[in-house]
Order: sequence, then C-alpha cells, then structure tokens
Amino acid sequence: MALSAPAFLRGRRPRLDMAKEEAAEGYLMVLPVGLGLLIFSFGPIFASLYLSFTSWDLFGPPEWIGLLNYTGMFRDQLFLKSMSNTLYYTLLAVPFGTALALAVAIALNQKLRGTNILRTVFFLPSVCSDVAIAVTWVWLYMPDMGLFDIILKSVGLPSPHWLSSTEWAMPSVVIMAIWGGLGYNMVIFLAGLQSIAQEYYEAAMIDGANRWQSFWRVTMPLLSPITFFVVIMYVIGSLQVFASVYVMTGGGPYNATLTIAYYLFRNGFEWFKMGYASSLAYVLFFVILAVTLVQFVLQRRWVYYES
Amino acid sequence: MSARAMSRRRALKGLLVLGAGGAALSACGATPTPQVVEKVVTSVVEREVTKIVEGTPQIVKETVVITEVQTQVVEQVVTATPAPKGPVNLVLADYVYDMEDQQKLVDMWNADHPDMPMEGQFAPWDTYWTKIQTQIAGGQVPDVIDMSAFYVVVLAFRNGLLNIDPLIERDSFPIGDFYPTSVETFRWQYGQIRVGEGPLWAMPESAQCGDMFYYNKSIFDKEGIPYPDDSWDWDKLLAVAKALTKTASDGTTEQWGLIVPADARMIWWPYTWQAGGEQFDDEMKNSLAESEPSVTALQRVVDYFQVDKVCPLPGSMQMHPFMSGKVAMCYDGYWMATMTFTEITEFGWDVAAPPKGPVKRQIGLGCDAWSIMSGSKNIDAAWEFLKWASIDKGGDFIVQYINAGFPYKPLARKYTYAKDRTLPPQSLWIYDDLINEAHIEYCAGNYAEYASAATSEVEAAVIGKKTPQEAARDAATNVNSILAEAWKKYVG
Repeated sequence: MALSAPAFLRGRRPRLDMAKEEAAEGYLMVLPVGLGLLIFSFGPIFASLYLSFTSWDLFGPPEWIGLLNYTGMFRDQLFLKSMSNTLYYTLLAVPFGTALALAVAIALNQKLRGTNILRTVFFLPSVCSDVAIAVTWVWLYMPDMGLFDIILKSVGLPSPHWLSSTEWAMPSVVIMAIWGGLGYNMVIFLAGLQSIAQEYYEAAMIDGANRWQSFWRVTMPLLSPITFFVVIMYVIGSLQVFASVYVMTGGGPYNATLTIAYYLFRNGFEWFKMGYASSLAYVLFFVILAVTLVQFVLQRRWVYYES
Repeated sequence: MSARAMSRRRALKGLLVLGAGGAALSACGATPTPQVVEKVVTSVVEREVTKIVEGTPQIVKETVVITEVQTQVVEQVVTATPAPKGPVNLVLADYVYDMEDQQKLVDMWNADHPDMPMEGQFAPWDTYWTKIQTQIAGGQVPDVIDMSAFYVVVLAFRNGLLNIDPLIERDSFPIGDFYPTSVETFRWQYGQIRVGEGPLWAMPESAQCGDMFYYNKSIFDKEGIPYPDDSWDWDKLLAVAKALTKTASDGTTEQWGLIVPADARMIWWPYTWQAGGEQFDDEMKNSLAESEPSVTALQRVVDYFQVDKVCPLPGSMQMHPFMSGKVAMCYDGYWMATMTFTEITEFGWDVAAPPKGPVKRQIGLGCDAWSIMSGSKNIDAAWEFLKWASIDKGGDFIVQYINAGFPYKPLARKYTYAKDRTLPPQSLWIYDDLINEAHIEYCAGNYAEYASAATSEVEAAVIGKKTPQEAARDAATNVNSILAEAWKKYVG
C-alpha cells in the first residue's frame, strides 16, 4: 500500500522531498570547508592564473602582457637550467628512494626481535622538519670537518667537495632527501607487504619457486598498486623540491641545484617579479599533471589489481 | 534526472560562482591612485648641422645634450590605513636579528612619547620583504619601515616612500653629520635607475662595510708574524696567506690563510674599485665587468682559490670557518663583528684596514634606513621617531645595543669607532675614515637580480667552471640584459 501525505499536507506541495533534503543537508555540512577551500585555495589559484599573464611587482597594479611570460620562459637560461636540475633530481631520487624503501620494508617485514624498534628508527626522519634535517646534513657535508669527509679521509679517499662541487651538489641533496623520505615510504610498503596473503607464497613454494621467483612473481605484482602510489607521490614531491635547496645550497654552486620551485621563489620574493613567478608555477603544475597522467596511462601495463 | 543529481548540479554551479567570487576577492589588492610626477630626462643626441667653416657651408656633426622635464603617470601605492582617532598610533616594521633589543627600543619610545605609542612588527630578513609586500598589496602599510638600499628604488618609484628633504630643511636636521655615502645611498630621482642623487627617501640607520677585513690574532702571534696594517697590499696579503696556510701530510688543509666570499658585492666589486675601475658606467646603462680593472680583480679573487690555494672552496657551512680558529684572515661583512664573531672566545681577533689594491684602498658601504611610507596618516609622529632614532636617545641606544655600524658620525665616533674599545674588535676605529670615503653601492632598480647574476659568475670562476675572462664576459651579458629591463621599467 503506498503511503500518502498526511492530511494537513494534502493539496500543498512539499518544499523538498527526502532525497533533496538529505543532499542539501550534506552540502550544508561541507559548506564551511568548501567556502574556505574556494576563497583561500581556488581563489588564489585562479588569481595566480590571471597574474601569470601580467607583469606585477606587488607595489602597483598588475600590467597585462599576455603570453610574454610564457614565451620569454623558453629564452630564459635559468629557467631551462632549473627544469633540467629538477628532472635530474627526480630521476635520481625516485628510483633509488623507492628501491631503498622497498628493500628496507622487506627486511623489516621479517618476524624477528627488534624489528619494531628498527621500524620506529627508520620512520623518525619523516616526522622531523625538512629544514631541521637540511641544517643537520649541511654539518655532515661540511668540507674537511664534516662527518662524511672524516670517514672518507680515514679510508684514504678524497673528498668530492659535496655541496661545493657542481657535480656532487645535487646528488648530495638527493642523498639527504632519500634518507628523509625513507621511513614514510617504508611504512607504506610494509602495509602493502603485510596485506599479501600467505597462501600465494605457499602456492608458489609448492610449485617449486625459489625466493627470488617468489619475490618477482608474487610480491612485486601484488605490491604494484602500492608501488604505483609511492612512485606517483615521490615524483610529485620531487618535482616541487624547495626546502632542502633553500637551506643547503641556495641554488648553487653556480645554479647546480637551482630547482624550478626555488627559481620561482627567487623571482617572486627576491626579485619582485610576481607575474613571471606565477607563470613558472603554472608551467610546473602542467609538468606535474602531464607526468602523472602518463603514469596513470602506463599503469595498465604493470600495475596488477587483484579485483 | 534524479533529484539528487539536480541538487548536485545546482550545488556545483553555486560553488563555481563562489570560486569566481573568491578569485575576485583574492585579486583585489591596494587600490592605486594615479599620480602625475615630473622627471628630468637628459639625453645626448648627435645631429648634423650646417655650419660655415672657412667661409664654406659644411655639414658637421655636433653633440647636443638635451634636458627635458617629462610628466609620468605613476600608480601610487596607496595605503588603506584609516586616520586614527585620539592618540597617534605608530606602526614600525623592522627586520631584526635580536627582537628583544628591538622591542626595548620601541618600549623606550613609548615611555618617552605616551601620546604617540608605537607598535613594533618585527621579522627576520628572510621573511621581512615578503611581509612588507603583502602588507602593501593588502593596503595595510606601517608608518615607518626599515628600508634596505637594495629596494629603495622599487618603492620610491611607486611613490610609496615620503621624501624627507622638506622635513630636514624645516627642522634644520643635521644631515651633514652623517657619513656622506650613507645619505647618497637613499637619494634617487625619476629618470634614472641608480641611487645617488635626488630626493632623500629614507633616514640612514646603518652604515655597514660589506668587505671588512678580519684576522685571527692568535695565529699571527703563534707564527710570529706582525698584524696586518695599512701598509698591506694585495701582494702582501697573498704572501702572508700562503705562509699561514698549513697542509697535513695527507693533503688535508689544517689551517687556511684566507676566507674570501664568492660574492660579487662583497669581493669582486670592491676589488674592482681598488684596481681603479668600476663595474657600471655612470648611469648604470652598461656593465663594465669586462673592463681591465674588473677582470684583474676577478682574476685575483679566483687565484686565491685555484692557483694559490689559500682559500677553501665556497660551500654551505653552518659555522663560519673563521670561528673555527683555523682561518688566519677573512673578508666579511661588518655585521659579523657585532653579531656572529662576538661569540668567539677561544682566540683573539681584530679588524684591519683591507689591503690596498693596485690603485687604492676603498670599501663599499651597505646601508639600511628608516622610511616613512607616503600613505602614513602620522607623518609628523613618524618624523619625530626618525629624529629620535637617529641623533637622539633612540640613536644612542641603537648604536650601543642594536647596530654599531651607525651612520650619524657623532654617535658612531662616541661608541663604535672609539679608540678605547675594550671588546673586540678594538681596531674598529680604523673604519671611521674608510667609511667616510666609502664607495656607494650599485643600488638600482632590479638590484637583487643583477647582483645575483654577477655572483653566479664569480662562483663559476672560483670553482673553476669558467676562466675569469669568461665569467666576466657572461656577467656583462647577463647584467646588461637585466639593466635593460630595469631601464624599460623605471625610465621607459
């Protein structure tokens, strides 16, 4: 028997039916956060898009210059240098960082005494400030007096001059970044490893698979969604590297560690070229978007989802 | 179409409208008020004229200097600070190293001037300019700001600063008792990009040498070498630096003779002056980085690192190498003498006159100043603060506790350059005369950018990536490009 409206409402149209009312309530609940997001996130994003087509030093009104910022970028040697440095950083940090995090996670996935303590120790850098880590590592890299030079000297090896060398400055920053991000990625991989059902390994053992074959044929495919996530996040973070460069090298020596994010900062806040800095930000955004989209397309070839 | 989908569509439309509204709000900044200002433009023109030479009409070329007054509409930076009711409330923005002493200064002012209470807004240098930019863009500008020579042109161009010459004249303020270069650094006029002439846009607050010469007395005592004095030149400096550079059997350098900053402003440009040259032409239209004195200067600097090996390669160091006690001499800014090096207790140290170059001895002067923002509603009160903080009780406190590199000569000579100093550096009085004859900084529009471009080339040469000639050539190219931008922006 169909329900009918109460007598006092018959003949009157209800303002909202149940579904609409629930939806309206839901949107009302998120409205405060949504408003904040719109005004303080999307608003500045759209504003900076506008600014990227202007010349603006913050002390006067923006002057519309069309695409000049974008076209001028490709004649800007420092922009090209910063892009190549950023890609170099990413190509070093992501594969080595991911592989090391996976190796540590596999090692700490064993049921041995002390693994909990070790997991905590490895994770500690992730809860430290990037700036504090960078300051500490500058001490480690200090010429002659730093720990690394002392160790190299003790085994009779010459110092590569770490942050003073154009060849070694970026790898030095990458080494620090890998160390800093190791714990976070290790924890993610650990969670993935522990979600793999033991039955798969038992089945592989029954089929005569050795340890390497179990790892390559069972662990890696089942871990591939986690690996995909880690790689995507690592790439996005690497393309935006700023704090470590700002603290450790200031973009030097001779622009060897000048990344796109740091170059953007210099243009905006040291040279008062806000319009150009905004255009750099958008170029970085589109590079990150393009790289992420490519990864999503390529995932069909190597990421295995059990479902 | 379901009711839920309809609601979602409407909600999305509403969000988009709100987003656009948010963008409009975010894009709103200070409302500019156009102002017509006059600028004097001088141009040199070569033209052909017909003249009678020995009774015969001939076409000759003559050079004519044309000076004209042009009007220019400048978008004025307008502050939206409403006029206060009741007692004047001053706002002072300052970049500081020691907030405690800075707050004491504000408290002293408030105690002396209860009718003009002041609020201090302090920030470290790194974040200060971002904050000022944001405040200006938002229309909430302080009455008085701490102004750096690096940015005075940027703000003065936008009419953001008050010309204080009329106030100086009105009150017979003793501006002549300031170190000349410290005052020139904050003079600028329309029609040019560099400082040096024109209205005064700020009251000097510090006069600091960027290439002060420090030495480790304990090392000199141990080696039995007389302390540096004003007879030293570059050759003497190099000889002593070599003698004081000690290398262990495994090739590690245990003691360095000299530390030189790989920085254009702090070493290349001063060395160029000492070699008898300049880095820019008079109007700052062209870089002179490839000139002989400039290349000579850069070669000298590079040789310290690459040939003579008396300097460690530049690299990020948490501790200034001089503080380790393993460096005999170093060039660094004046500010190290009154801040960082004061922590040294393990060895004795002092300053000496920088060694003389092939032509002369000269230092550069970096200055800070107080500026009254043109939109301030409390100009008289702000001016009273400037006077108080320069030659009065506030100045007396600043020179003793905040900034010993003071530009007002009577107070500087009373405290900083007194010959009976007990705390190191005891020989600081040497710099009184040097500062009086200091070379003005090449401060102009786009200063931060071309200084950075020049410093990159110094770095490249010092670490051996380029020869000094190549570095000078590339510095000239890059700096000229930035100067062209600056001329286009500030002169048109």
